[in-house]
Amino acid sequence: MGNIRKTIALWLILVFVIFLDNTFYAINRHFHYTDLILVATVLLVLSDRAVSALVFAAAAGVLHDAFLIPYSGFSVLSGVLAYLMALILSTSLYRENYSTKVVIIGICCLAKEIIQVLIVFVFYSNCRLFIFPFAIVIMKIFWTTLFGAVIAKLLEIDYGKAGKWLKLKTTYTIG
Amino acid sequence: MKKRKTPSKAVYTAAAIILVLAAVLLVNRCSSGAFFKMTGPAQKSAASGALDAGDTFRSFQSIFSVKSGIKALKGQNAVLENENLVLTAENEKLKRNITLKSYRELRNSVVCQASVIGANDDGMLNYMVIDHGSNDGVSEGDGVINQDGVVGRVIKASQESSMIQLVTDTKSFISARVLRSRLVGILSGESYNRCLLNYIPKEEDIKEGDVIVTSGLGKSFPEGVRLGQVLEVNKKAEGLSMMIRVKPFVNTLAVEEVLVVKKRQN
Repeated sequence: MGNIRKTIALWLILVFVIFLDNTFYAINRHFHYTDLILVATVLLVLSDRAVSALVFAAAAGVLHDAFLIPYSGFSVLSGVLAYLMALILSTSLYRENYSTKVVIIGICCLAKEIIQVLIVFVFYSNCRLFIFPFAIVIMKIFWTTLFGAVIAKLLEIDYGKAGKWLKLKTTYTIG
Repeated sequence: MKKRKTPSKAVYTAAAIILVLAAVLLVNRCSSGAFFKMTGPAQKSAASGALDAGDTFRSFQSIFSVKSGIKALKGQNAVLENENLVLTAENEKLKRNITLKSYRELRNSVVCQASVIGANDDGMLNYMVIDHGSNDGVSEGDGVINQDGVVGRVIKASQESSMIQLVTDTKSFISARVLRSRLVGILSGESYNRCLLNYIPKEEDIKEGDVIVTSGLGKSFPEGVRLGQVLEVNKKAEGLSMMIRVKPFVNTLAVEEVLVVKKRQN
Protein backbone atom coordinates (compact mmCIF):
# COMPACT_ATOMS: atom_id res chain seq x y z
CA MET A 1 0.00 0.00 0.00
CA GLY A 2 2.79 2.31 0.89
CA ASN A 3 4.51 1.58 -2.38
CA ILE A 4 1.36 2.43 -4.35
CA ARG A 5 1.09 5.76 -2.57
CA LYS A 6 4.71 6.44 -3.28
CA THR A 7 4.28 5.48 -6.94
CA ILE A 8 1.26 7.76 -7.30
CA ALA A 9 3.16 10.59 -5.61
CA LEU A 10 6.10 9.92 -7.90
CA TRP A 11 3.97 10.07 -11.05
CA LEU A 12 2.30 13.24 -9.87
CA ILE A 13 5.75 14.75 -9.52
CA LEU A 14 6.70 13.45 -12.97
CA VAL A 15 3.58 14.96 -14.55
CA PHE A 16 4.45 18.25 -12.87
CA VAL A 17 7.97 17.96 -14.30
CA ILE A 18 6.51 17.53 -17.81
CA PHE A 19 4.29 20.53 -17.23
CA LEU A 20 7.27 22.59 -16.09
CA ASP A 21 9.37 21.50 -19.04
CA ASN A 22 6.74 22.59 -21.54
CA THR A 23 6.00 25.89 -19.86
CA PHE A 24 9.45 26.97 -18.78
CA TYR A 25 9.53 29.76 -21.33
CA ALA A 26 6.31 31.24 -20.04
CA ILE A 27 7.29 30.79 -16.39
CA ASN A 28 10.88 31.88 -16.51
CA ARG A 29 12.88 31.68 -19.70
CA HIS A 30 16.19 31.78 -17.80
CA PHE A 31 15.61 28.17 -16.79
CA HIS A 32 15.48 26.88 -20.33
CA TYR A 33 19.04 25.59 -20.15
CA THR A 34 17.96 22.97 -17.62
CA ASP A 35 16.73 19.70 -19.11
CA LEU A 36 14.32 18.55 -16.44
CA ILE A 37 13.15 15.55 -18.43
CA LEU A 38 16.68 14.20 -18.72
CA VAL A 39 17.38 14.68 -15.01
CA ALA A 40 14.15 12.92 -14.06
CA THR A 41 14.80 10.07 -16.50
CA VAL A 42 18.35 9.47 -15.28
CA LEU A 43 17.31 9.62 -11.65
CA LEU A 44 14.53 7.09 -12.33
CA VAL A 45 17.05 4.80 -14.00
CA LEU A 46 19.42 5.22 -11.08
CA SER A 47 16.64 4.26 -8.68
CA ASP A 48 16.04 1.05 -10.62
CA ARG A 49 12.77 2.19 -12.19
CA ALA A 50 13.86 1.47 -15.74
CA VAL A 51 10.38 0.86 -17.17
CA SER A 52 8.94 3.94 -15.49
CA ALA A 53 11.89 5.91 -16.82
CA LEU A 54 11.28 4.69 -20.36
CA VAL A 55 7.56 5.48 -20.17
CA PHE A 56 8.32 8.89 -18.72
CA ALA A 57 11.00 9.72 -21.31
CA ALA A 58 8.78 8.66 -24.20
CA ALA A 59 5.67 10.42 -22.87
CA ALA A 60 7.56 13.63 -22.13
CA GLY A 61 9.14 13.52 -25.60
CA VAL A 62 5.79 13.00 -27.32
CA LEU A 63 4.22 15.90 -25.43
CA HIS A 64 7.23 18.16 -26.08
CA ASP A 65 7.08 17.37 -29.79
CA ALA A 66 3.34 17.88 -29.90
CA PHE A 67 3.32 21.20 -28.06
CA LEU A 68 6.50 22.96 -29.04
CA ILE A 69 7.77 21.72 -32.40
CA PRO A 70 6.00 20.55 -35.54
CA TYR A 71 8.21 17.47 -36.02
CA SER A 72 7.19 14.38 -34.09
CA GLY A 73 9.98 12.12 -32.97
CA PHE A 74 12.73 14.63 -32.33
CA SER A 75 12.40 14.77 -28.55
CA VAL A 76 11.16 11.18 -28.28
CA LEU A 77 14.15 9.78 -30.14
CA SER A 78 16.72 11.89 -28.32
CA GLY A 79 15.03 11.27 -24.96
CA VAL A 80 14.90 7.51 -25.40
CA LEU A 81 18.50 7.35 -26.63
CA ALA A 82 19.59 9.38 -23.62
CA TYR A 83 17.61 6.94 -21.47
CA LEU A 84 19.48 4.01 -23.07
CA MET A 85 22.76 5.76 -22.38
CA ALA A 86 21.74 6.19 -18.73
CA LEU A 87 20.77 2.53 -18.54
CA ILE A 88 24.09 1.37 -20.00
CA LEU A 89 26.10 3.66 -17.73
CA SER A 90 24.12 2.75 -14.64
CA THR A 91 24.70 -0.95 -15.24
CA SER A 92 28.38 -0.59 -16.06
CA LEU A 93 29.46 1.98 -13.46
CA TYR A 94 29.43 1.88 -9.69
CA ARG A 95 26.38 4.10 -9.31
CA GLU A 96 26.10 4.06 -5.52
CA ASN A 97 28.70 6.78 -5.46
CA TYR A 98 27.16 10.28 -5.56
CA SER A 99 29.78 11.73 -7.89
CA THR A 100 29.21 8.84 -10.32
CA LYS A 101 25.53 9.77 -10.45
CA VAL A 102 26.45 13.34 -11.29
CA VAL A 103 28.87 12.13 -13.96
CA ILE A 104 26.16 9.89 -15.43
CA ILE A 105 23.77 12.85 -15.63
CA GLY A 106 26.43 14.96 -17.37
CA ILE A 107 27.34 12.25 -19.90
CA CYS A 108 23.68 11.56 -20.66
CA CYS A 109 23.05 15.26 -21.25
CA LEU A 110 26.04 15.42 -23.61
CA ALA A 111 24.81 12.33 -25.43
CA LYS A 112 21.33 13.81 -25.79
CA GLU A 113 22.71 17.04 -27.21
CA ILE A 114 24.91 15.16 -29.71
CA ILE A 115 21.97 13.02 -30.79
CA GLN A 116 19.79 16.10 -31.24
CA VAL A 117 22.47 17.80 -33.35
CA LEU A 118 22.77 14.68 -35.52
CA ILE A 119 19.00 14.41 -35.94
CA VAL A 120 18.75 18.07 -36.92
CA PHE A 121 21.72 17.80 -39.26
CA VAL A 122 20.56 14.65 -41.06
CA PHE A 123 16.77 14.85 -41.02
CA TYR A 124 15.89 18.48 -40.53
CA SER A 125 18.36 20.69 -42.34
CA ASN A 126 19.09 18.17 -45.13
CA CYS A 127 22.74 17.90 -44.18
CA ARG A 128 23.12 21.66 -44.63
CA LEU A 129 25.85 23.06 -42.42
CA PHE A 130 24.79 25.45 -39.71
CA ILE A 131 26.46 26.96 -36.70
CA PHE A 132 26.87 24.35 -34.02
CA PRO A 133 25.47 26.00 -30.91
CA PHE A 134 28.43 25.24 -28.66
CA ALA A 135 27.48 27.90 -26.15
CA ILE A 136 23.97 26.57 -25.69
CA VAL A 137 25.14 22.95 -25.49
CA ILE A 138 27.76 23.78 -22.87
CA MET A 139 25.28 25.86 -20.89
CA LYS A 140 22.73 23.07 -21.05
CA ILE A 141 25.21 20.44 -19.89
CA PHE A 142 26.42 22.70 -17.07
CA TRP A 143 23.01 23.73 -15.75
CA THR A 144 21.43 20.31 -16.23
CA THR A 145 24.28 18.59 -14.41
CA LEU A 146 24.19 21.16 -11.63
CA PHE A 147 20.44 20.85 -11.27
CA GLY A 148 20.71 17.05 -11.40
CA ALA A 149 23.41 17.09 -8.73
CA VAL A 150 21.21 19.14 -6.41
CA ILE A 151 18.15 16.92 -6.95
CA ALA A 152 20.22 13.73 -6.56
CA LYS A 153 21.57 15.07 -3.26
CA LEU A 154 18.05 15.91 -2.08
CA LEU A 155 16.85 12.43 -3.03
CA GLU A 156 19.68 10.81 -1.09
CA ILE A 157 18.49 12.38 2.16
CA ASP A 158 16.52 10.08 4.40
CA TYR A 159 13.11 11.68 4.90
CA GLY A 160 11.99 9.42 7.73
CA LYS A 161 8.77 7.68 6.72
CA ALA A 162 9.18 8.65 3.11
CA GLY A 163 12.66 7.14 3.14
CA LYS A 164 15.25 7.82 0.48
CA TRP A 165 13.51 8.74 -2.76
CA LEU A 166 16.38 7.62 -4.91
CA LYS A 167 15.86 4.12 -3.55
CA LEU A 168 12.11 4.11 -3.82
CA LYS A 169 11.70 0.52 -4.76
CA THR A 170 12.18 -2.12 -2.15
CA THR A 171 13.18 -4.79 -4.65
CA TYR A 172 16.23 -4.43 -6.81
CA THR A 173 14.82 -5.54 -10.12
CA ILE A 174 14.51 -3.62 -13.35
CA GLY A 175 10.87 -2.63 -13.89
CA MET B 1 96.67 141.69 -81.14
CA LYS B 2 93.86 139.59 -82.41
CA LYS B 3 91.53 138.19 -79.79
CA ARG B 4 91.13 134.30 -79.89
CA LYS B 5 87.64 132.86 -80.18
CA THR B 6 86.70 130.42 -77.31
CA PRO B 7 84.71 127.26 -78.26
CA SER B 8 81.19 127.01 -77.02
CA LYS B 9 80.01 124.55 -74.34
CA ALA B 10 78.11 122.43 -76.86
CA VAL B 11 81.32 121.64 -78.68
CA TYR B 12 82.87 120.40 -75.41
CA THR B 13 79.90 118.25 -74.68
CA ALA B 14 79.83 116.67 -78.17
CA ALA B 15 83.52 115.97 -77.97
CA ALA B 16 83.20 114.33 -74.62
CA ILE B 17 80.50 112.09 -75.94
CA ILE B 18 82.56 111.12 -78.98
CA LEU B 19 85.52 110.35 -76.78
CA VAL B 20 83.54 108.19 -74.45
CA LEU B 21 82.04 106.28 -77.38
CA ALA B 22 85.41 105.82 -78.93
CA ALA B 23 86.89 104.66 -75.70
CA VAL B 24 84.10 102.13 -75.27
CA LEU B 25 84.56 100.84 -78.81
CA LEU B 26 88.28 100.64 -78.28
CA VAL B 27 88.04 98.78 -75.01
CA ASN B 28 85.48 96.35 -76.51
CA ARG B 29 87.65 95.54 -79.45
CA CYS B 30 90.77 95.12 -77.29
CA SER B 31 89.23 92.95 -74.65
CA SER B 32 87.33 90.78 -77.21
CA GLY B 33 84.21 90.40 -74.99
CA ALA B 34 85.94 90.77 -71.66
CA PHE B 35 83.48 93.46 -70.79
CA PHE B 36 80.56 91.07 -71.16
CA LYS B 37 82.51 88.45 -69.31
CA MET B 38 82.84 90.80 -66.42
CA THR B 39 79.28 91.93 -66.57
CA GLY B 40 77.80 88.42 -67.18
CA PRO B 41 77.36 87.26 -63.61
CA ALA B 42 75.96 90.55 -62.63
CA GLN B 43 73.69 90.44 -65.60
CA LYS B 44 72.73 86.87 -64.79
CA SER B 45 71.92 87.62 -61.24
CA ALA B 46 70.11 90.68 -62.30
CA ALA B 47 68.19 88.69 -64.87
CA SER B 48 67.35 85.94 -62.44
CA GLY B 49 66.26 88.54 -59.98
CA ALA B 50 64.11 89.99 -62.64
CA LEU B 51 62.75 86.54 -63.46
CA ASP B 52 62.03 85.92 -59.79
CA ALA B 53 60.38 89.24 -59.58
CA GLY B 54 58.35 88.32 -62.69
CA ASP B 55 57.40 84.98 -61.15
CA THR B 56 56.39 86.65 -57.95
CA PHE B 57 54.33 89.04 -59.91
CA ARG B 58 52.78 86.24 -61.89
CA SER B 59 52.16 84.36 -58.61
CA PHE B 60 50.33 87.33 -57.30
CA GLN B 61 48.43 87.40 -60.54
CA SER B 62 47.61 83.66 -60.23
CA ILE B 63 46.62 84.11 -56.59
CA PHE B 64 44.15 86.66 -57.70
CA SER B 65 42.88 84.32 -60.43
CA VAL B 66 42.70 81.37 -57.94
CA LYS B 67 40.82 83.60 -55.55
CA SER B 68 38.36 84.46 -58.22
CA GLY B 69 38.15 80.71 -59.14
CA ILE B 70 37.47 79.78 -55.53
CA LYS B 71 34.81 82.43 -55.39
CA ALA B 72 33.19 80.93 -58.49
CA LEU B 73 33.48 77.38 -57.09
CA LYS B 74 32.00 78.52 -53.79
CA GLY B 75 29.08 79.85 -55.69
CA GLN B 76 28.68 76.56 -57.56
CA ASN B 77 29.10 74.63 -54.29
CA ALA B 78 26.40 76.70 -52.69
CA VAL B 79 24.11 75.91 -55.58
CA LEU B 80 24.95 72.20 -55.35
CA GLU B 81 24.48 72.24 -51.58
CA ASN B 82 21.09 73.75 -52.08
CA GLU B 83 20.28 71.11 -54.66
CA ASN B 84 21.57 68.45 -52.26
CA LEU B 85 19.38 69.81 -49.49
CA VAL B 86 16.37 69.78 -51.76
CA LEU B 87 17.16 66.22 -52.89
CA THR B 88 17.82 65.05 -49.32
CA ALA B 89 14.53 66.55 -48.20
CA GLU B 90 12.81 64.88 -51.12
CA ASN B 91 14.53 61.58 -50.29
CA GLU B 92 13.50 61.85 -46.65
CA LYS B 93 9.97 62.62 -47.72
CA LEU B 94 9.94 59.58 -49.99
CA LYS B 95 11.41 57.47 -47.22
CA ARG B 96 8.77 58.75 -44.82
CA ASN B 97 6.11 57.96 -47.37
CA ILE B 98 7.44 54.45 -47.78
CA THR B 99 7.68 54.00 -44.02
CA LEU B 100 4.24 55.48 -43.55
CA LYS B 101 2.96 53.23 -46.28
CA SER B 102 4.53 50.20 -44.64
CA TYR B 103 3.32 51.31 -41.20
CA ARG B 104 -0.16 51.91 -42.61
CA GLU B 105 0.02 48.55 -44.31
CA LEU B 106 1.25 47.03 -41.07
CA ARG B 107 -1.43 48.71 -38.97
CA ASN B 108 -4.13 47.56 -41.35
CA SER B 109 -2.84 44.03 -41.40
CA VAL B 110 -2.38 43.44 -37.67
CA VAL B 111 -4.52 40.50 -36.59
CA CYS B 112 -3.87 40.46 -32.86
CA GLN B 113 -1.37 40.94 -30.10
CA ALA B 114 -0.23 37.72 -28.45
CA SER B 115 1.97 36.48 -25.63
CA VAL B 116 4.57 33.75 -25.95
CA ILE B 117 3.57 30.75 -23.87
CA GLY B 118 6.20 28.23 -24.89
CA ALA B 119 9.36 27.87 -26.91
CA ASN B 120 11.78 25.30 -28.15
CA ASP B 121 14.75 27.61 -28.25
CA ASP B 122 17.52 25.09 -27.82
CA GLY B 123 19.44 26.57 -30.74
CA MET B 124 18.60 23.74 -33.13
CA LEU B 125 14.87 23.79 -33.76
CA ASN B 126 13.61 27.30 -33.22
CA TYR B 127 9.89 27.45 -32.59
CA MET B 128 7.56 29.34 -30.31
CA VAL B 129 3.98 28.98 -29.22
CA ILE B 130 1.70 31.98 -28.75
CA ASP B 131 -1.60 32.18 -26.92
CA HIS B 132 -3.76 33.16 -29.92
CA GLY B 133 -5.08 30.78 -32.55
CA SER B 134 -7.55 30.45 -35.38
CA ASN B 135 -10.38 31.63 -33.12
CA ASP B 136 -8.62 35.01 -33.00
CA GLY B 137 -8.08 35.11 -36.76
CA VAL B 138 -4.56 33.72 -36.85
CA SER B 139 -3.86 31.48 -39.82
CA GLU B 140 -0.90 29.65 -41.28
CA GLY B 141 1.54 31.89 -43.13
CA ASP B 142 0.79 35.02 -41.11
CA GLY B 143 3.83 37.07 -40.15
CA VAL B 144 4.85 37.63 -36.55
CA ILE B 145 6.70 40.78 -35.49
CA ASN B 146 7.52 42.75 -32.36
CA GLN B 147 8.93 46.20 -31.65
CA ASP B 148 12.40 45.14 -32.82
CA GLY B 149 11.40 43.58 -36.12
CA VAL B 150 10.46 40.25 -37.63
CA VAL B 151 10.11 37.36 -35.16
CA GLY B 152 8.93 34.61 -37.48
CA ARG B 153 5.98 33.12 -39.29
CA VAL B 154 2.93 31.14 -38.16
CA ILE B 155 3.25 27.56 -39.38
CA LYS B 156 0.49 25.93 -37.41
CA ALA B 157 -2.66 27.47 -36.00
CA SER B 158 -4.91 25.57 -33.63
CA GLN B 159 -8.03 27.09 -32.13
CA GLU B 160 -6.42 28.57 -29.05
CA SER B 161 -2.72 28.69 -29.83
CA SER B 162 -0.33 28.94 -32.75
CA MET B 163 3.14 27.70 -33.48
CA ILE B 164 5.68 30.13 -34.89
CA GLN B 165 8.76 29.24 -36.88
CA LEU B 166 11.37 31.73 -35.75
CA VAL B 167 13.42 33.73 -38.23
CA THR B 168 16.53 31.90 -36.98
CA ASP B 169 15.25 28.41 -37.76
CA THR B 170 17.16 26.64 -40.53
CA LYS B 171 13.95 26.07 -42.46
CA SER B 172 12.84 29.70 -42.34
CA PHE B 173 13.14 31.65 -45.61
CA ILE B 174 12.07 35.29 -45.90
CA SER B 175 12.41 37.62 -48.88
CA ALA B 176 14.71 40.43 -47.76
CA ARG B 177 16.17 43.68 -49.05
CA VAL B 178 19.37 45.54 -48.20
CA LEU B 179 18.14 48.99 -47.17
CA ARG B 180 21.16 50.94 -48.52
CA SER B 181 21.71 49.28 -51.88
CA ARG B 182 18.17 47.97 -52.43
CA LEU B 183 19.48 44.50 -53.26
CA VAL B 184 17.01 41.66 -52.82
CA GLY B 185 17.93 38.26 -51.38
CA ILE B 186 16.53 35.46 -49.27
CA LEU B 187 17.14 35.48 -45.54
CA SER B 188 17.40 31.99 -44.10
CA GLY B 189 17.88 30.95 -40.50
CA GLU B 190 21.19 29.62 -39.31
CA SER B 191 20.11 28.67 -35.78
CA TYR B 192 21.23 30.26 -32.53
CA ASN B 193 20.21 33.84 -33.26
CA ARG B 194 21.98 34.05 -36.61
CA CYS B 195 20.74 34.20 -40.21
CA LEU B 196 22.22 34.06 -43.70
CA LEU B 197 21.38 36.39 -46.57
CA ASN B 198 21.48 34.27 -49.72
CA TYR B 199 21.60 34.89 -53.47
CA ILE B 200 23.51 38.19 -53.42
CA PRO B 201 26.12 38.07 -56.22
CA LYS B 202 29.75 38.62 -55.27
CA GLU B 203 30.17 41.81 -57.29
CA GLU B 204 27.35 43.62 -55.52
CA ASP B 205 27.91 46.35 -52.97
CA ILE B 206 27.20 45.19 -49.45
CA LYS B 207 29.14 45.82 -46.27
CA GLU B 208 29.07 45.14 -42.57
CA GLY B 209 26.47 47.14 -40.72
CA ASP B 210 23.99 47.29 -43.60
CA VAL B 211 20.42 47.02 -42.44
CA ILE B 212 18.23 44.27 -43.88
CA VAL B 213 14.46 44.75 -44.14
CA THR B 214 11.63 42.73 -45.61
CA SER B 215 11.25 43.24 -49.33
CA GLY B 216 7.48 42.95 -49.44
CA LEU B 217 7.80 40.40 -52.25
CA GLY B 218 6.76 37.57 -49.96
CA LYS B 219 3.21 37.24 -48.72
CA SER B 220 3.77 37.14 -44.98
CA PHE B 221 5.30 40.56 -44.35
CA PRO B 222 4.75 44.06 -45.72
CA GLU B 223 7.72 45.97 -47.10
CA GLY B 224 10.22 47.65 -44.80
CA VAL B 225 9.92 45.67 -41.57
CA ARG B 226 13.34 45.40 -39.94
CA LEU B 227 15.03 42.01 -40.11
CA GLY B 228 18.63 42.36 -39.08
CA GLN B 229 22.06 43.84 -39.57
CA VAL B 230 24.93 42.47 -41.66
CA LEU B 231 27.53 41.00 -39.36
CA GLU B 232 30.01 39.46 -41.78
CA VAL B 233 30.51 39.49 -45.54
CA ASN B 234 32.54 36.69 -47.10
CA LYS B 235 33.19 37.16 -50.80
CA LYS B 236 35.51 34.16 -50.94
CA ALA B 237 32.71 31.70 -50.37
CA GLU B 238 32.11 29.01 -52.95
CA GLY B 239 29.63 29.67 -55.76
CA LEU B 240 28.37 32.85 -57.31
CA SER B 241 26.91 34.35 -54.18
CA MET B 242 28.50 35.92 -51.15
CA MET B 243 28.10 34.42 -47.71
CA ILE B 244 26.47 37.16 -45.69
CA ARG B 245 25.87 36.51 -42.02
CA VAL B 246 23.11 38.57 -40.44
CA LYS B 247 22.27 39.18 -36.80
CA PRO B 248 18.52 39.54 -36.37
CA PHE B 249 17.29 42.63 -34.56
CA VAL B 250 14.98 40.42 -32.55
CA ASN B 251 16.58 38.45 -29.75
CA THR B 252 14.66 35.23 -30.18
CA LEU B 253 15.58 34.14 -26.68
CA ALA B 254 13.83 37.11 -25.12
CA VAL B 255 10.57 37.57 -27.00
CA GLU B 256 7.52 37.99 -24.80
CA GLU B 257 4.87 39.93 -26.71
CA VAL B 258 4.30 39.77 -30.45
CA LEU B 259 1.99 41.12 -33.13
CA VAL B 260 0.51 38.81 -35.74
CA VAL B 261 0.15 40.41 -39.17
CA LYS B 262 -2.15 39.04 -41.82
CA LYS B 263 -0.54 37.53 -44.88
CA ARG B 264 -1.39 39.04 -48.27
CA GLN B 265 -4.10 37.16 -50.08
CA ASN B 266 -3.14 38.02 -53.69
